[in-house]
Amino acid sequence: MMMMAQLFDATRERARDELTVAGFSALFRYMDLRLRLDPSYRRLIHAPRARDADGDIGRHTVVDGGRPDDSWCSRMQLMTRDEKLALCLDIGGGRVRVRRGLVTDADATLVFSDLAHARAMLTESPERVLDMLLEGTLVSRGNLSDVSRLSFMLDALVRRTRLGGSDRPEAPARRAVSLPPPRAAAEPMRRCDAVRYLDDPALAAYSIDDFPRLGRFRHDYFATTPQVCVERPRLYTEAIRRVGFLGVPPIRRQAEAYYHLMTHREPLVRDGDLLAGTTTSKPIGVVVYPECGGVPIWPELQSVSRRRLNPYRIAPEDARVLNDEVFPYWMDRNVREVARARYDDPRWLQLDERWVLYFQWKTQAVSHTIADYPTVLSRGLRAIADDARARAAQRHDDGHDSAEGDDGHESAEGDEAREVYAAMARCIDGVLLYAAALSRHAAALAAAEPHAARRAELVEMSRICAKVPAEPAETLHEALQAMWIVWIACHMESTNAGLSIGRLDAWLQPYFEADMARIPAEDAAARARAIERAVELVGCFYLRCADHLPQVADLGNKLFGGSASGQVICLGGVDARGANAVADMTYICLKVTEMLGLKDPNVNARYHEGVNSPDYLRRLCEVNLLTGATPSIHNDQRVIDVLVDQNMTLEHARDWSATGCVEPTSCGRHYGHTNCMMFNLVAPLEMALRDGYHPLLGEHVGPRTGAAADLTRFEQLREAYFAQLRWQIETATHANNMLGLTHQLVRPTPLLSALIDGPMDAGVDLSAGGARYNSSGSGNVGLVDVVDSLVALETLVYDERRLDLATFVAALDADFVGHEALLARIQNRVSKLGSGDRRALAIAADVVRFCHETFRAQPHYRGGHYNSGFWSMSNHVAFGVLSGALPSGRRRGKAFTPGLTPAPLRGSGSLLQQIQDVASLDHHAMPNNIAFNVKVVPAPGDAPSRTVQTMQAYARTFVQSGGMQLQFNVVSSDTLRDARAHPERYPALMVRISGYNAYFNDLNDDMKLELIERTEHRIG
Amino acid sequence: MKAPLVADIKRNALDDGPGIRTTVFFKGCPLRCVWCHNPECTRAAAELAYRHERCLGESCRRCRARCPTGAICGDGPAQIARARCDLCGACAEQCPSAALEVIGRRYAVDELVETLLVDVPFFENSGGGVTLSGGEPALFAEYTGAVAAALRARGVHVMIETCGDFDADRFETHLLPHLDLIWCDIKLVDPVAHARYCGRDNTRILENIRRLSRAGTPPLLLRVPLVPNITATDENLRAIARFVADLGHDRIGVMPYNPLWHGKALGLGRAPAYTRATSMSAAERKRCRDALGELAIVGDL
Ligand code: SF4
Ligand code: SF4
Repeated sequence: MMMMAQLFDATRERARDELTVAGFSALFRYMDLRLRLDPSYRRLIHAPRARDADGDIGRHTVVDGGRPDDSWCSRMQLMTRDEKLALCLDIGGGRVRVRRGLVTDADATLVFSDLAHARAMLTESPERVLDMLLEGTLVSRGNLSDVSRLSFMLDALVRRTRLGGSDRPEAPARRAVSLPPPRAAAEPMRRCDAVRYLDDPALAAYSIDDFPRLGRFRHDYFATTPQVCVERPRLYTEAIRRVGFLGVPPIRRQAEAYYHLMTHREPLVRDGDLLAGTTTSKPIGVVVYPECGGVPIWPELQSVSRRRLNPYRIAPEDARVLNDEVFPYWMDRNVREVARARYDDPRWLQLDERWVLYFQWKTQAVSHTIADYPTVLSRGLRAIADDARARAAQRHDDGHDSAEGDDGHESAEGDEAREVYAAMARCIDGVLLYAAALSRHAAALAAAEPHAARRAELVEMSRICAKVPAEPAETLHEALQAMWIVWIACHMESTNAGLSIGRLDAWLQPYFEADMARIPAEDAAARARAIERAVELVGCFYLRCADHLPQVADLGNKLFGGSASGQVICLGGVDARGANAVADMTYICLKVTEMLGLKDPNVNARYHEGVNSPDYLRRLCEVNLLTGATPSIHNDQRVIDVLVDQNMTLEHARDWSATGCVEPTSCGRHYGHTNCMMFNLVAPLEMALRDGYHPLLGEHVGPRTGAAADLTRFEQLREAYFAQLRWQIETATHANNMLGLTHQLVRPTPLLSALIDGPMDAGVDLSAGGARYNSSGSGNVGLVDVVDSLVALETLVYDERRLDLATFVAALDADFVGHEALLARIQNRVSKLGSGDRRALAIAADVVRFCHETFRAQPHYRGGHYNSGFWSMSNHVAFGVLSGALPSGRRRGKAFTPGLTPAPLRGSGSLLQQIQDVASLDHHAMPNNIAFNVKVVPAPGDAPSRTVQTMQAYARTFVQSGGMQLQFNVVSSDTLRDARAHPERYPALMVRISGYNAYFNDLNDDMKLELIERTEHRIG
Repeated sequence: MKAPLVADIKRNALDDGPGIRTTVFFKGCPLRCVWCHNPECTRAAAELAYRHERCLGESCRRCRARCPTGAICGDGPAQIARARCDLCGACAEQCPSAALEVIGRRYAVDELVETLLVDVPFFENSGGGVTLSGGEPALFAEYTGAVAAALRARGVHVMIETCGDFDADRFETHLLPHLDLIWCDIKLVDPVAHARYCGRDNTRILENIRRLSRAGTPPLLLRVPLVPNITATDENLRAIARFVADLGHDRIGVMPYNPLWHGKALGLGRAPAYTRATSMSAAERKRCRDALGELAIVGDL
């Protein structure tokens, strides 16, 4: 009987396998049929379009001059690891031909771990397929654009039948929101710091109700569903098709495309706004950068408005533009695929596409830097363009001089520099023409405006846009308008991922003072009005910065849920001479931050003990309490120290701002791609325990460092970990270097180069190392998990000898099931980082130093160095979900700890000890900064002033003890639980993730749980 | 001077006085209030505490295997034969989940002071300090006085939480001069009721309160634990309000009832004599507020 049953099972299994293989074949035959018989389906791959300047070369020209048909031409494979499934798809000429068997020259291959998972692709939701990609049961090899396009065509194949039956409605353009009232009112304060005009720097008399314009924009912001905007990718692609991708110096290509974009995009003014210009053509637009990370949204063109997390609307015509005109062109020309082709499908790129060792941001962006706005404001763009032209002419003359000699090398360099200058000037011309178009548009609006007050505003707007950013700004309004136009201009060139604004308060203060000085001191009412106007203008600026979102594919929702574009504003601190930079505009920005409660711009604050007043720190804590999550607080002195360590002058080091999340950049002269990668510190530990084998990757990826049984002393384990870590750092930085070189080919940034000190003198684009200071920075994720794990291993395996390492690893593989006592002992009886335990601190210092020194020792592609830091964005959740159980007692699939924050375990110490432990780590070895998250919960009956006092005491002690950065979340786990159950009640609930803010509702469920489970420190 | 046992040192305490504080809970108290929220602090001797919610259960039982006296028998640590237990700590040492713990540790004065000083920066930045609590810190006036003196010599703000039942002379000689603030309980005005619910009558307590009030320094805050049907009756609260006002105070501290102490008592092998299992309702709180009349309320009521 038994035998019969087994036989039956086996037969059934085989039958199901056969069915799966047959099912795939049938699916693609059906696709072929539809391509031939269904004109609307066929149209998706045969878009009529203009001839490229490159000739009708289509794909692979970049690589090897391969495939002829641009419409859809690809060779793809689907297989299982055991090759039970082995299908080859020849796509081209409007047909899909399916055959069994494998080939060696496929453009892309999808590898399923087994047939069961292959079946899942046929039968389960697209979301499940994403999970499979993350967990490695589905691996994509080769060109990701091919996979994206195939996914899109598969989606389109079934979409019709799904459309009607979909239980998930399309996201509405606007949703009703009722925003909760402010948590409490601010308390008045005395004049302090370098404040000259504000009698009460807290502006406690004001609330959002006093600024109806801001209230309306804020409401619209929360009520509006973001919409994909194709203006940029359409114009940019159109121009590059004309100019040609090949045979043109990349920087000229960029400049021409940029000029075309800026001179053809629509000048827009939001109804009622004080600042002209928009990042996109939509109220809240998702910007598409097809040359970087744009193509992966392709599969979602028809579904993105229905997806569960962060849906975007997309107009059918816009989806058509992307599918027909934009994405096909960029399939082989985006940074990722150019790198893949150039370096022959390198291992470092394959590993990046497994998501668990590191995430290379250069596939999406560089961006993390800060332009020289003071120069933009004081000299104007026209002067900068003139400068570039003069230098181009100068090089031209020099070139002629040296051409008379015989140094051909110099002359080639001169040519390149000339290209750079010409490109800079061309880009600035584009920006100025856009500003002129805005001016005309505002004038036209004014002419048609019935209300006199608004008409006057529009006339003034038109005047200002005719003046700035071309000429120097003279008023606060002009300064903000100039910054806003330049900010749009930068985002038309560089991805909206971490490009940062910088020291808004310090840069605006002179213009505010100039405005105030024009009003006689006796005219108190006029001065009050000017202050209110300043608040309103800065509020408009913040809300303009919130008019766009980064494009996140659904896979990204799992990795970076809810993230914004990381536009940091960094307040306070000291000026270049070391004097107090906290002034009127600092407090005006804080008031705006308090009233608006936006996730982006990401407001950071510098606190310089001994120079900035304790009242200022108190006000920072108060705004943090009232908004729940912002600003984050930096120890100014410590950050200045680490910039000086990088051979910056003290003046330049003092002129720093956070970038993206929390990372320091010296403003306007430092190209420090401060988030070039998110780096998983735990993966090397998983590999060290298994002789280089990574459980999720399912193979020996790391070096052979010895089986667990052979690591008989802790010292050997430590060496094994460091060997794996070194390998991973070398691989990851190499990846960044290669991608950085690829950026030089695909996407130089002439505009940004004109706005940062260095390229103008050197005649070298930023991407090639033109900046005065160069570096890249990593966000290392999971330090606390690694430290707690090593402490547990040293304590239990090597000191107390309770079990051997191999047994421990077996317990990890079993996720502690059957090893409950071990788990309990780790959780309850082993010291953790944050408890003051010396061993934990020593190990933490050891790992931090090793990271610092190893990253520092790596070569850097544009003549800089690597800075290592300890913050995690949301990757502590993403990496955690993909990692097994850890010796720290963290179970499989759970989030790591965010940034540099002690674990939510008994034994991780009281908050006071955690503050002291984190502060004691050597900041010199963490130059890319840290994120120490503290979740505090005020008692319901407590006066806000008491809560603020307590927060201030934590923050001040942390700073005095040498800590670098901390960020408070002021929210209870109960509230978060309620928000998880009833999202509609919390439309604007803002939380701090690690380095950035998000609205709780936008987070994926793993992230919500991590926030709920974070240790909550009750205060009061 | 023998050092008393310390049951716990709680850092980042925000409910035990102004600012951020560290609270030291001494073991030993002259009273035995039926609702005592810190049952681990009443006895002066060490005790073995068991937290069943942490215990791994029958699959573990390392404690039973380790116990040299057989005090942990058949049913495991839920039923410790305390008469047989000699507090050797072997079970707690082996317990993987820290479900078992011997409560009570002795510190030399210097050692305790050093331990408390690590948080001085927080005290300074918040206007906080150290709170000596318990149990009854005045029971060990020589020791706690030495601790308080050493802390104050380092600039730390020191206060006590006391039940008021102490020897006034010893208190005034050793402890009082080193205190910045006193929080003293006043539970029941009726001496009979006091004897019934707290184990002793309140003559000495009321007298001590009068003395402290008269002296005027250090500042004194009187506080009522609000225990439904015992202290939180209209009659008692009105009597307390009168007593407090007569002494010239215009404020009174309140500590609303919290049933969480039951688990702690059970873990020490004691059945709670007062069994109310819920916190106070809004209506009960309001009634207390009303009964306390004109006095300003300190605390969350
Ligand atoms: S040793 Fe601890 S966990 Fe194990 S049975 Fe005893 S009390 Fe429970
Ligand atoms: S303390 Fe010692 S005697 Fe008491 S129960 Fe534990 S092991 Fe047994």
